[in-house]
Amino acid sequence: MTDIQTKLEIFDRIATRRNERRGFLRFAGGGALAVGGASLLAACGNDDSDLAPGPTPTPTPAPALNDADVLNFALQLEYLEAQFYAFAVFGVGLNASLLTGTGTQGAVTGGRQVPEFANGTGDAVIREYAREIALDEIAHVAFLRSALGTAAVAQPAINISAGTVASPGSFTAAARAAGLVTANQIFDPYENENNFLLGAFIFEDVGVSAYKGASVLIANKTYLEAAAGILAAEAYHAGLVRTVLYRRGLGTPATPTTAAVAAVPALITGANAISNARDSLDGTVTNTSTGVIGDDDQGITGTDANVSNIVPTDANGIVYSRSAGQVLNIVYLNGASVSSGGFFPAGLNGNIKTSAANA
Amino acid sequence: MKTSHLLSCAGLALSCAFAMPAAAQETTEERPFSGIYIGAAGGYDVQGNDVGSSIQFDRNLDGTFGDQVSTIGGANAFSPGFCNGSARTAVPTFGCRNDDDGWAYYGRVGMDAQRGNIVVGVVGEFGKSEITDSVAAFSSTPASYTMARKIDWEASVRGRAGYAVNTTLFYGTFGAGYAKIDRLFFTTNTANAFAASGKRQQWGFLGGGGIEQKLTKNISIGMEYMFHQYKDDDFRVRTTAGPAISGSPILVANNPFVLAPNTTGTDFKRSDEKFRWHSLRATAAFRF
Amino acid sequence: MTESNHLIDALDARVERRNDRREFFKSVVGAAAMTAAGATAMTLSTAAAAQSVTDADVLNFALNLEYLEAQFYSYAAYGTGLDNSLLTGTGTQGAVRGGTQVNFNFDPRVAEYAREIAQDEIAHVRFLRTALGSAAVAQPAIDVSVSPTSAFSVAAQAAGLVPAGTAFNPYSSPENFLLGAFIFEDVGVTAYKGAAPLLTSKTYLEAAAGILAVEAYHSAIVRTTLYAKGIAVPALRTSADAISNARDRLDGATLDLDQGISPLSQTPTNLSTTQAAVQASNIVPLDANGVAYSRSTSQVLNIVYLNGSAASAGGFFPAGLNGTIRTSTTSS
Repeated sequence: MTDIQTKLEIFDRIATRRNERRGFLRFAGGGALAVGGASLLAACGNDDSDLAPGPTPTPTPAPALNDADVLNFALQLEYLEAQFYAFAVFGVGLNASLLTGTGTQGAVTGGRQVPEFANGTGDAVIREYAREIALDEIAHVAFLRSALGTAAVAQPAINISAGTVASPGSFTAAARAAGLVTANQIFDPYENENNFLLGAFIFEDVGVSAYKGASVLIANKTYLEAAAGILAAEAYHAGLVRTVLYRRGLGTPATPTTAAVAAVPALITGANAISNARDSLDGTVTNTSTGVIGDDDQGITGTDANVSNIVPTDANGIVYSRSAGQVLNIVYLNGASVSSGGFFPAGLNGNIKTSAANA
Repeated sequence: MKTSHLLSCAGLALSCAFAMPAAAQETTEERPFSGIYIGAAGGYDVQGNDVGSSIQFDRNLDGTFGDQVSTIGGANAFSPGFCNGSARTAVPTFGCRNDDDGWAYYGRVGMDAQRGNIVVGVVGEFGKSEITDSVAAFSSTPASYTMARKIDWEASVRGRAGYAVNTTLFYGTFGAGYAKIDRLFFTTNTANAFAASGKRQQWGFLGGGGIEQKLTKNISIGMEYMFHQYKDDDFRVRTTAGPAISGSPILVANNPFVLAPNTTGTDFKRSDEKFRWHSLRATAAFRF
Repeated sequence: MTESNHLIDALDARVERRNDRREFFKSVVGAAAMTAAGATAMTLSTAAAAQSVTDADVLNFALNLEYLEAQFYSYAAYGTGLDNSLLTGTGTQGAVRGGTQVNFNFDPRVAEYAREIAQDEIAHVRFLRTALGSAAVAQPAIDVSVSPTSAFSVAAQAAGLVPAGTAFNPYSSPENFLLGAFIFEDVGVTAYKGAAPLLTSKTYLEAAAGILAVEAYHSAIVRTTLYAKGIAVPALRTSADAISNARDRLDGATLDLDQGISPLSQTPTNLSTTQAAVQASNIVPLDANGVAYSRSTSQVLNIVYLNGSAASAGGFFPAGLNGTIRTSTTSS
């Protein structure tokens, strides 16, 4: 094929395309605008409004939980612990500036200073432990709030009261569920040091399992390390409380240098009963991280009263995890899937607020 | 007035133009296509398909694009992909709106010289095309980001050369263009702040051809095809932590656009550095 | 700038330092490969470790420490060491210079604690060995014995518990046992906390978090018991404080990563009314944010090697650890 023929063919093709385009456009435009009329009319009306994003036909699915959601969940557990210890130890709650944020801010119901902490009677070291734990939990609230900044949730309504027989508060409800008190009694964690220790026991192991469960949910390495540090703090606290309960529970025999200390068996039976109650609340659902079904909580004594079980561990020597849903079963004092109750009468703020279906 | 018809709906205009007698008219003029003329052109512009267009990122603000924007977990934040239109929603599921084709309307002044059948001339043109060229990116948040460009005005100076048969001229034309390009940026992301920048006036070239048909001694009409291409590599959008998150250390620390160690922000740029489109228009001119 | 910003900056700075160290070592190792000098390569082998720490490296580092703790508690609680089937693996298997069973007659509670902790630490050894499988390192040479130059004695002498040249026997009484245990437990907490962000597998991250918690429970038992006994025997509190200070000197003066148990006067803040200062215990060693401290692997090695200078052996590990993470740098 010669060059000229090739070029003519090219020109032919160009002309053909042009004619086709003209033909198309004539066809499109000529006549009664019937063919593709609607779209062409729409094209006639082209203007900037087409550049604006169109309305979303279906809601965009909510994004998965992020680090801020996890920290906000932890923050609200810290609100609960900090308020309990602040009232029990110092007789006052947290500063108002520490309670604001997104969501619905609520008030604290209940809480008063334990008399032995107020007047210096009772065991001096117990008071020192209580102060130490209180200061740590308040620091946790402040730390998490500073990490979240404007994304921090407000403290929701919190109930840390004993209430009355007719109208039980959260601690009485928890104690009744554990069998510590009958339906005609209340449990007041502020009444004396021993009750305070059992009240503290309700929270501390739950905090450990909560932070352990959350450890895999935090993507940011800096905040992961910080969460690990709070996990350690809660484990120290739990170890402290359990050791004190065990030691006071069993009492101490006399030694050449010290007098005997009488046993308080109710501390051991009470702690073990609370552990069983926590077990029944967070259900028989298999714990996906450990594969353990149901039994993710342990009392402070082992096979018999003299065998200590200060550290609740599985066969690998590792503490248990709880999912956020299971933690909420315990703090809502409800094995069913609900979004409020128990220590949080109006539920949590933020995106993690529903307990697991374990009932 | 026939010109008003020509300036109406493009399809009708073109069919009108085609409906005009194409047969050459006898004329007593020696050189029908010489002299100065003023005129107008109007028609329809279409944007090419831009397959493979995307948005590119500069994470460390070193001026080199092609960086990956990573989530805090290390994954590619823009794994959902890109499209060569404007995003309808935050997710690719609902697709993109195709690039808008649009009307174009210009005024022109030109001068031709005819010797025998050969016509050469120069023409200056000024006008506007309603063409739009968008590209969108989708992130895994999910969120969408659309960069769009339009023509505010276009000016060109072209030469033309053609072959006249009596009162019908077949010509080609080529020249330089100078356009003011409008840029738009919109996004579903409310966490970050976005600041656009970039030179708006850009140089380019035009080329094409057409037919001009004299109706009377002074009036001629025609049809013309033109290809336009403008350099457009200067549009940047810089994203930083916005007021919605800047008060929260953890939200800032996890934001893919300001992830450590490059915490200042991220620049966006279109991958397609040339703004090009095709015009098909009807022309009309008044010769003095 | 708030305390937490300081913390975040400190943590970020640590991550930056770690990354910088890795980057530096990468380039150094690259250069070393060019020279093909065997000796250079061996000296820099630990640089290669710092270059890219794998999950297995981290778990093996933890396993070495668990061998140490498990042997000590096993001897203290039961009078015997670990079964040999738990000690084999890669690297050089070493012998344990062991201890003796503690006489807990005067405090059976502490006997219970010792048994419980021993069982947990042995369980940790088993768990890590199972997780690592054939990649598990063997137990290196370990010294938990009693002599004027044994590791416990060197540590106690450095802390001023005993005069120079005198042996410290952690098996001689429940109180001495608690002090011996005190040397390890907080270090375990800070070691796991420092190592957690290094793990890439979420499964092992959760497990490490779980072991971290257990070490904290253990440490709380030891610290609480020492503190309570310290009412009648104040020397127990001051001895614990002294050990804490010695650890602080070993891992460097820049960061105060360790705290004694003696009570502190603290002024509560962030309450709804202003509060006077109160005396509180210091069972839980935390920073101002209520967050436990981290130690780098190098800082942990400074302590267990009982050496603030760069070393690959010493103290409780006379032949050093097995595995890739075994060399400390001079602490600062």
